[in-house]
Amino acid sequence: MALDWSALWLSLKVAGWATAINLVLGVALGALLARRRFPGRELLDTLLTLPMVLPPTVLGYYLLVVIGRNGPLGAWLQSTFGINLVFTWQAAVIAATVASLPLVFKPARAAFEAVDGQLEQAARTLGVSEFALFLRVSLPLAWRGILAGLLLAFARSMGEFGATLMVAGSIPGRTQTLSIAIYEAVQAGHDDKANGLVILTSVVCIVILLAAARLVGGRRREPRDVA
Amino acid sequence: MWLELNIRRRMEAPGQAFMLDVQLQCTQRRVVLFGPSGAGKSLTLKAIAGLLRPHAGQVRLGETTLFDAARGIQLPPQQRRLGYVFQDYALFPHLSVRQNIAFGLHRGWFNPSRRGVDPEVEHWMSALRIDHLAERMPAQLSGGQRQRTALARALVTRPQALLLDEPFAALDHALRDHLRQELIGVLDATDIPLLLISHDPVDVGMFGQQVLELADGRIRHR
Repeated sequence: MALDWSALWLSLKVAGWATAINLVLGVALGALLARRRFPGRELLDTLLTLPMVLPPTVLGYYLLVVIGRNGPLGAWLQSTFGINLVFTWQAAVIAATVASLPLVFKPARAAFEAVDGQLEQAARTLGVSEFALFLRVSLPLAWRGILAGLLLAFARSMGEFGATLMVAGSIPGRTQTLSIAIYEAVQAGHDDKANGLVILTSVVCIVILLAAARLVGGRRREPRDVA
Repeated sequence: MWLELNIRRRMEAPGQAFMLDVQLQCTQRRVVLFGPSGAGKSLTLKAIAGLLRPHAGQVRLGETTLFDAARGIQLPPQQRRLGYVFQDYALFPHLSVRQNIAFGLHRGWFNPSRRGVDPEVEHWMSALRIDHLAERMPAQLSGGQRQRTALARALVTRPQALLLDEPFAALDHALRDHLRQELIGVLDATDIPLLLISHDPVDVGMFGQQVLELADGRIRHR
């Protein structure tokens, strides 16, 4: 039974990039939606939540429309840089990022909303700038909720299938992620390969969950008595 | 006169509206803004600190205009250099007592380090007798210790004036008198102007070199 390590490596690479992008994008959007009042705020929240409820094939189709050769972004990238995103691993990163973004920005927004606004006001009266107080007060106090979202997003990105298949295809060694490789193996009747990949995926997911629990648990301060 | 204020601001909440329309001059070093809860005392203090934007009027601190609606002047709270102590103290729960007090001395992107020692911070911790609590987290402090930490955090930045929002309301009776004496000691030592909000007549007696009474959003003249 030959294990397909390239699919595992590709899945980890795609999920890692998607999570890193969502760390920046999800935190920024969460903070924006929690703290700023602007017209269309709830509409923006709804639009960004759509990938969670839309069928992955619909999401994949939308992405193709945008980054495909004839799409606005795709055509611009092609003419300016000669880049074609479709059927590349970067397209898989885009699909995973969009699909898992709601899992980051939603809990981030809730976490920022739970931060006592008076603490931010206190920081202002002490002369600390808006960006500095975001880094020094809001972010550390919201971090736990954000971290939980990022772990879910990583797991979601590892399992992304439908949208990825549509925009990145299934090129072995290049865009064939674990979940797509499993599908292909089953379709082709390679049960041995499918078995191996399924076990591999399960082991990786368990390891990630255990590591995550350790990471979150280790950061928790034990409850202390009031003196 | 160290503070001159003339502001108007309409507050709206579903089903109710409140009009804040306050004119006051602080002519003495220690001023008490006295009145029942809901009179607009905290709103007035927030407007002075720049945490609430009035719709009209001016706020002047000494020679500096902090706010002037007609001239479009609105100094951000960061540049007003006022020592604000919130009613429930608003200590940063993720920072130790020492880090809380040093917070305003570090203006960059990072919080003061857990081990960093600053002479100003140490001075105020020993002056307010909380030096033995330096490593504690706010959740481990008693009410009086929190109040002292918040006061030290405000004083360490050398503010131009102290704004205290009901500083003794959250404390039990025995402790109140003690902490009032302590605050008198700080004021005597620093000669920093004080504007204190309270609905407690005892505070008026102890800090009210000048007393301004606020009721239903307006100064009541006696």
